[in-house]
Amino acid sequence: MSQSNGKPIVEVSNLDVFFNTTQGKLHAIRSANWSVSQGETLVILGESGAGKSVSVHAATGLLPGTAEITGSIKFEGEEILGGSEETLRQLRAEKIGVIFQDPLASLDPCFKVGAQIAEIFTVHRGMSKSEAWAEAVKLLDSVQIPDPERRANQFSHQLSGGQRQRVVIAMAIALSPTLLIADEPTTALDASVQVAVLELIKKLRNERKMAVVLITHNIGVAASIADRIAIMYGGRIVEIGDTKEVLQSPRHPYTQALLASMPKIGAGASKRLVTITGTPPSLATIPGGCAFHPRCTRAIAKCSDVVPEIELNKNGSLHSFACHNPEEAN
Amino acid sequence: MIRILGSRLLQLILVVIGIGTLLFFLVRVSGDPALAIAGSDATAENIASIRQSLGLDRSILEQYLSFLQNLCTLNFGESYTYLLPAMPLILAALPNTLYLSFVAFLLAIVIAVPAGIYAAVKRNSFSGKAVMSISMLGQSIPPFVIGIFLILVFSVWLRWLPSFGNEAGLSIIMPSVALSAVLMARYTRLIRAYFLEELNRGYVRTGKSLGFTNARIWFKHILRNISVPMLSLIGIDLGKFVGGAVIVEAVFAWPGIGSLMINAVKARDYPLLEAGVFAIAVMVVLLNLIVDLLYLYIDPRIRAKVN
Ligand SMILES: Nc1ncnc2c1ncn2[C@@H]1O[C@H](COP(=O)(O)OP(=O)(O)OP(=O)(O)O)[C@@H](O)[C@H]1O
Ligand SMILES: [Mg+2]
Repeated sequence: MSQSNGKPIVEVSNLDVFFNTTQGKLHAIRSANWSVSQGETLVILGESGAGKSVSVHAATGLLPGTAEITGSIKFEGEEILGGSEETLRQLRAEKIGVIFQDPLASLDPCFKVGAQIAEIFTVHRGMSKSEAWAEAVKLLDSVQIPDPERRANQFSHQLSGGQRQRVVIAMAIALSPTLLIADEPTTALDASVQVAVLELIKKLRNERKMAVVLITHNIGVAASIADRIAIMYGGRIVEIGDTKEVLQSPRHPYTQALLASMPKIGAGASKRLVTITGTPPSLATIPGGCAFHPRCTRAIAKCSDVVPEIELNKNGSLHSFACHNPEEAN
Repeated sequence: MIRILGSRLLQLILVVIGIGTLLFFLVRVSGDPALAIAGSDATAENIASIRQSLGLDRSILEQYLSFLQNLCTLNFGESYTYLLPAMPLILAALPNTLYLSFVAFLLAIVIAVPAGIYAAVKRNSFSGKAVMSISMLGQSIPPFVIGIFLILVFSVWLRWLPSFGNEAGLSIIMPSVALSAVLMARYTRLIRAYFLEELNRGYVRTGKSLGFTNARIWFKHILRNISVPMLSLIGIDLGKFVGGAVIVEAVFAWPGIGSLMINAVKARDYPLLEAGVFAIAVMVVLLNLIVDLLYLYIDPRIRAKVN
């Protein structure tokens, strides 16, 4: 599970995203750098509003028209930023699969789930209706939906939450994408179903050698699937590195606080979670210097003035963080 | 399925008896048909004998009971003005009314769907806002005003289209435009509003993430989803639509039920009026039944509940 040597699928560098709103221009993502390679899984962790979804969807072209994106996003070596809407659409069709958080809302209530999957094959593969239907049933089988023939003939409201999420996963991988984006794919599900869905994503990743970017609020999820973890705060990536290093030896005080505050998969409510004091900043009022300094127990004078830069690959280390006064390495 | 048919049948009976009864008493307090038939220089005996032959000398209760009997046998007696059985007269005019209503309705949908989607997609540009302004205007002008305006422009001034009747094939154009204008405008606005709401739904996002074109997402998925609330509105509108048809038929002397009914009101032709109301009530209920069945077809959630 360590750093894979597959070819890079997405390389994001110096990414900035702004939203033009009635309250002015909001700076949602600030100089983000991340990448993910074939067969590798990057997990993005962070509180609500940290910019996890926005930083990922900058690469899918699914941000609204009010978004302004600068920097560079390379997909399989080719720059896609500034490309036409049509190029991005084709990229989404052929290369990128997306799983969203809410599996009921992701499906069209008016069509049978089999028909929705089959549509992908008729549109993008030019299959006949019956060929596409057969393919859809096969796909439902491969995401471990029992009795796929019968399920294909049902509507989304007739399926359980876990089954719906499996259908959504089936749609995302239908055309064998090289990149799978999963934005909180298990949040809406029961704990036991969460584990099963996560196992399915892992299995599909291994079989199909996909690069996976997964967003979650759950450390257990992160620990069980991630090769690397990125921590976001206030629109910035504040720490990124191999799963083991980030989880066992977090250097950024925010990472440490976040890890202490997050639920573990399967853990009951018995274990008290440590909450981080203060609230995450809103985009319009991000503090100067390090955005975390007002909530930070290790803040020093410099923190309120100078934005700590994340030093990538310093001394060849793959574990990077943006902090003036980091925790001791252990 | 059977339940829906049953409840619509019950509704039909209640509507026909209810409206029939209301009408029965309304026309009878509005004046005496014998006076209208006899003319201005008739003697009192003259009028009395006419009333007797029409059965109007009986007590109101007797008249009402025989009216209910007529309802059951679908025999409303002879029209006072045409001196022919009323029901066949109405049935002969029915195809014209259905033709006009159908064309007008189709016109409204065929224009409103693309116009509404256009107004939604181009909501921030001038052309999108222009569509909304035009439809606002269209919604606020009554059909008969549009009808008279059309006659002035296309019949009187340009002399392109016939102003009345249904002799030429082109005759359908103006009445159907006049009748559909309000509906067209209303549906354009509604489709725009529903469409904008649907744009934020998850399945739209999913469609985009699958690399579907906007056209596919709009015309296949969103349209199918908004047809559910649209249908229920259409069901509510049907009654109003028939009311509009009566007026428009009168403006263009269109030989349908509406024209017959207006004449029947003027002449206090009770049998014709009663037969006409009966036919319209049946028509509205049947159309509602079609809407119900379409509902079943379009919305799988409702279909699941029924089965
Ligand atoms: N279309 C938009 N217009 C304006 N601001 C936006 C838009 N989309 C996102 N934002 C802002 O960008 C910031 C980051 O949003 P994002 O959805 O990436 O958060 P997140 O980390 O995914 O949070 P969550 O865990 O709640 O999903 C938020 O402050 C959000 O309000
Ligand atoms: Mg998010």
